[in-house]
Amino acid sequence: MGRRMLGRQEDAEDAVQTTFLKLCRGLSQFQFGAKFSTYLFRIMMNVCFDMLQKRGGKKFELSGMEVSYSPRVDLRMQLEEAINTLPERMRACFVLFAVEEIKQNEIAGILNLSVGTVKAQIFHAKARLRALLLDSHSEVTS
Amino acid sequence: MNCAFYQKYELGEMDERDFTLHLPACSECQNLVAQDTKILALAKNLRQPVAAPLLWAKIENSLRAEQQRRRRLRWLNFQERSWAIWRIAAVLLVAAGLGAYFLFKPQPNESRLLAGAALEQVEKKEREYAAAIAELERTALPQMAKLDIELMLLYRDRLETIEAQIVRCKETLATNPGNAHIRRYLLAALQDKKETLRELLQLAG
Repeated sequence: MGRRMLGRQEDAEDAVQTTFLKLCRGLSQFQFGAKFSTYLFRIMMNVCFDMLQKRGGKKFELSGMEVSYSPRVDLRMQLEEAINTLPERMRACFVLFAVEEIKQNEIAGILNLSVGTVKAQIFHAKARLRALLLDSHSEVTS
Repeated sequence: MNCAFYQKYELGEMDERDFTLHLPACSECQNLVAQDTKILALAKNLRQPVAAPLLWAKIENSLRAEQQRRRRLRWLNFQERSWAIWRIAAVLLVAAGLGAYFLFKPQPNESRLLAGAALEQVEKKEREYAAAIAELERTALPQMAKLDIELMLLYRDRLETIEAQIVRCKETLATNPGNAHIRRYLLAALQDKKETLRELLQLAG
């Protein structure tokens, strides 16, 4: 998820490291009625947003991807790149929903948004991705 | 996109049942559903564990460093607390010392009384000693005439010098009777006078 959000493997690793440190520091604040994964994802997402903010909206090329000429892998890379072009919050909603397969109400808890907003963000993300992938791959559109 | 049903369904404004009824009749919605299904399937495949062999070691290290930092902070806090305790203890000790000093300090009246009693004793002994020497002087001085003129002059000078010392000591003691130093000088002068008179008596006798 860190890699999807930040685009670079090193940044993602830093984000995971910071997340664990923050988790360690703030574990006493964790309310045991809440879901731990939600708590963990929330920290991770906040770390990612902080890093993106520090970076000042500068985007990186996706790295660490295996180069392949298989059309399926190529399509995956295209999708990775397309996801990377989405606005931060939209990207977060989509990655959590589509990649991490987290329920929308949980995403709302993680990102501190309403469920309606999450649904809208996912819908618009899918629309954008459709449009981005439309020209390059008939596989998606057909 | 002309049909808004899919959007309404996606945004939760339309029931799933209504959308399911609508879907077979709308090719546009069918197309969108199919495309999104493919995108979601593709996105699901993106979730691949990324091999990062050093990541856990890095996390472990940073957690350990964090733990050490916390321990150090705890120790510093403890040290700070113990310093504060030491400071308070020192202040209390000084306060207790000052309190004890002022509480058990000899009262000025008592001190004068004690000094006065001791002084009285010393002065009494001195007077007795001086009286004995005066008695000796009364016996010795008439004998001085029996000595050679030179010896007589020598002893007279010596006795005069001693007497001058005694007078000076007594003058000083009149203003500062508690001065033990001067009292020692006086005693030495009196002893010197006694010895001189004895010598004189021996020579004359």
